[in-house]
Amino acid sequence: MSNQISANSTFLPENSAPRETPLMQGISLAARLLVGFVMLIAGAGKLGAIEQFGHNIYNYQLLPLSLVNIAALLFVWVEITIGILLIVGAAVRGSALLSGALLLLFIAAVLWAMSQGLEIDCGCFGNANGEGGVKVGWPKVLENLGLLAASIFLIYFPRSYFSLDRVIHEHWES
Amino acid sequence: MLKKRIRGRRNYQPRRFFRLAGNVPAGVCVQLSAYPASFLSFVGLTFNNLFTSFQMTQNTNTTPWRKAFREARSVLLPAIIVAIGFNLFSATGVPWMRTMPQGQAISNDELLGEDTAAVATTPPPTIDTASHDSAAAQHHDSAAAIAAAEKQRVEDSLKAARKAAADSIQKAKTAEAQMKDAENVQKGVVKEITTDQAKMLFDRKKGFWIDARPADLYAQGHIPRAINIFPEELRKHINDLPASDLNTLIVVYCNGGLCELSHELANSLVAMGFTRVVVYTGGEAEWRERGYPMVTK
Repeated sequence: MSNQISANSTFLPENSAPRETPLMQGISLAARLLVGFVMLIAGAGKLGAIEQFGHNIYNYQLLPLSLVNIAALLFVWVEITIGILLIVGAAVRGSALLSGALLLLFIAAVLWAMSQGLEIDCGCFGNANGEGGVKVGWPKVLENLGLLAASIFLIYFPRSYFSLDRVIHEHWES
Repeated sequence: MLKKRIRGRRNYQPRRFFRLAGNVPAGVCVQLSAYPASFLSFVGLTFNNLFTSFQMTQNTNTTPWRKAFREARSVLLPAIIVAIGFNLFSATGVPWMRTMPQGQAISNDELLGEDTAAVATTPPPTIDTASHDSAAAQHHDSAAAIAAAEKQRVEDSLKAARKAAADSIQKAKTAEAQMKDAENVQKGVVKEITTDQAKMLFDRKKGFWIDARPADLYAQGHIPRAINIFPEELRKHINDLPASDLNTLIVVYCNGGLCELSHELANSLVAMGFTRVVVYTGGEAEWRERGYPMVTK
């Protein structure tokens, strides 16, 4: 009974769990940095033009006008938070899950816009002056699918080199 | 040594605050009111929870998805708090609820200004008739011819004076209109018309009508003679616009209510140089409600 409790305890170090190979850790690092930088650049690009981003969201015709500013604010700050956490390698699983959820949402929105025949700016990387943004289309869907795959990979293999999680874990074990 | 250390930590329980924030994120705000904690301590709580959370999730034997959900909760909460704080204290904060841009109303005279101006500049036909009569009288006798010539001179000068006055009035009107339009371009404000005014224009076959809704809604039903231009696709439809005359009256509409597309398109058209752009704010909804004619594509 005592062994069972200790095995299921939330605070047990994961000393018995199989460690990822160096190759997997390397891939995980690459995936982490890729998704992290994309999220950070996307969020930071929109930070100075939240009004315009709200406008881009409204153009999808999925949200009522009154809610687009709140949605824009949340998207921007969640993207920035996820980006920073993934780059430093903290809470990798949670950040990867959130980035995956956001990417799923973006894919669905882009497909919806395409099905409605809308040739609108996707609003992905900010577009402060409202000109020259990336249009919705299959390249955008494929790009998001690639990032989604990287996010799912990170949920299963969060351990990687140069991560804050790893430093904390090693500190915990020592 | 390690086992001993683990055994020592087995009974470790995070403090009450941390457990609350980590396990009941939806009820955190409600629970917060029960504690004498300030906003700052709450922020500290969530970050502390974040730290505790990824320590915990690294070490559990649960599935990766469950661990991910637990961590995601702790990531999401600070992000939301920062978003709220940023919007409250930043100079570039946006209103929480977005509302329709308010335009200026336009009078019927201003709407039909082009017609009245055309009437004003047309010279009265009686003057031409009189000049023809005096020219005919010149052929009869010299006295009459001198009188007629004098009369002709007076009429010509009168005509020139009238024309100069009409021109100066027209120039003043144009300058005023251009000034107003320039103001509108600067402020990004377009004028708005009511359903009655829209119907009046429609009945008189006035205006270049544009439906700013997505193509599928346009296909389901739109005001006759209206073309479809979604604001984002304006560049694609530049050739469809009456570019030869920037003073053409353009009527833009969308769904009505909280639809912002017509204002967006109208602002773009004003920025392009069109001087007489109005938004029919009632839109398709009010037009249909009144039982006015609609066509499907």
